[in-house]
Amino acid sequence: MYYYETVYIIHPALQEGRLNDIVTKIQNKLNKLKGEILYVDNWGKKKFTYPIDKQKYGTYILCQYSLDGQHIKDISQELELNPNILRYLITKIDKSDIKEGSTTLETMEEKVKEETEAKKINNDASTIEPKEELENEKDVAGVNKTEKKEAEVVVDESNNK
Amino acid sequence: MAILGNTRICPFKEDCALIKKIDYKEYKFLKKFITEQGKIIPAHVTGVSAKYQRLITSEIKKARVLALLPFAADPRYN
Repeated sequence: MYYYETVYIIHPALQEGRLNDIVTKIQNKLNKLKGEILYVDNWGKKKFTYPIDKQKYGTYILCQYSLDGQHIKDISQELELNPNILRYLITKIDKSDIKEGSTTLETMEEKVKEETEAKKINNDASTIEPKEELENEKDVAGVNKTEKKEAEVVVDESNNK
Repeated sequence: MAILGNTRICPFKEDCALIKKIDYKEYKFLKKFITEQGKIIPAHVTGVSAKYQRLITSEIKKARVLALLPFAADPRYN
C-alpha cells in the first residue's frame, strides 16, 4: 500500500451534475480496487497556460488515496480512456503530505457560499475587535489616572497629618 | 553563487517554511523561478542551492504537464 495523488482536468463544457458523475465513477473504480480515498478537492474552473485539445479552460480535481502499486495502471487506463478528461497526473506522495479535509466532493456553489460566509465573519470580527481594544486602552488609561489621583490624595493626607 | 560579485544566500536555507512550497500545486510560488517566456531561471541567478533547484525543476515540469505553468509563453494566446 502506497499513497498517491492524482490531479485531473475535466472538460469545461461539463457542469455540476455530469462533472460529479465522472468524479464518482473514478471514486467507484478506486473503491473496487480496494483503494481508500483520503482527500478530494475541486480547484474550480481554471485557465490553461496553453490550449489542450483546443480548449482554454478546464475543471481541476485533486484526489489523494492509498492503493496497491499494481493497480495504478488500471486507474491511469480509466483516466486515459475517458474522453471528458483532458489531462491527468498521478504522483506518489508521503503520508505526511495528505491534506486533512472532506473525502466527498463539495459542489462549487457550496464552496462559494462558505467562502462568503467566512469573509463576512472575518469582517465582523475585524470591525468589532479594534473597538474593544480601544475601549480597553481607554479603561487602562482611566484606571491609571484614578490611581494617580488617589496616590496624590494619599500623599496630601499624609502631608496634612 | 555570485553573479557580478553579489553573493546570494539560498532563500530556502534562510526560511525553512518555504521548502514546503516547492510543489506543483503551489504553481503561483513557482512562477518566481521562471522567466516571462516560461524558461526555468538558472540557480546561479536566483541563488537557490543545488539541492532545492533540483526539486524546483522537477515540480515546474509537473506543473507544465497540467497547464498550470507554460512550456513557452505564447504572446498571441489569451
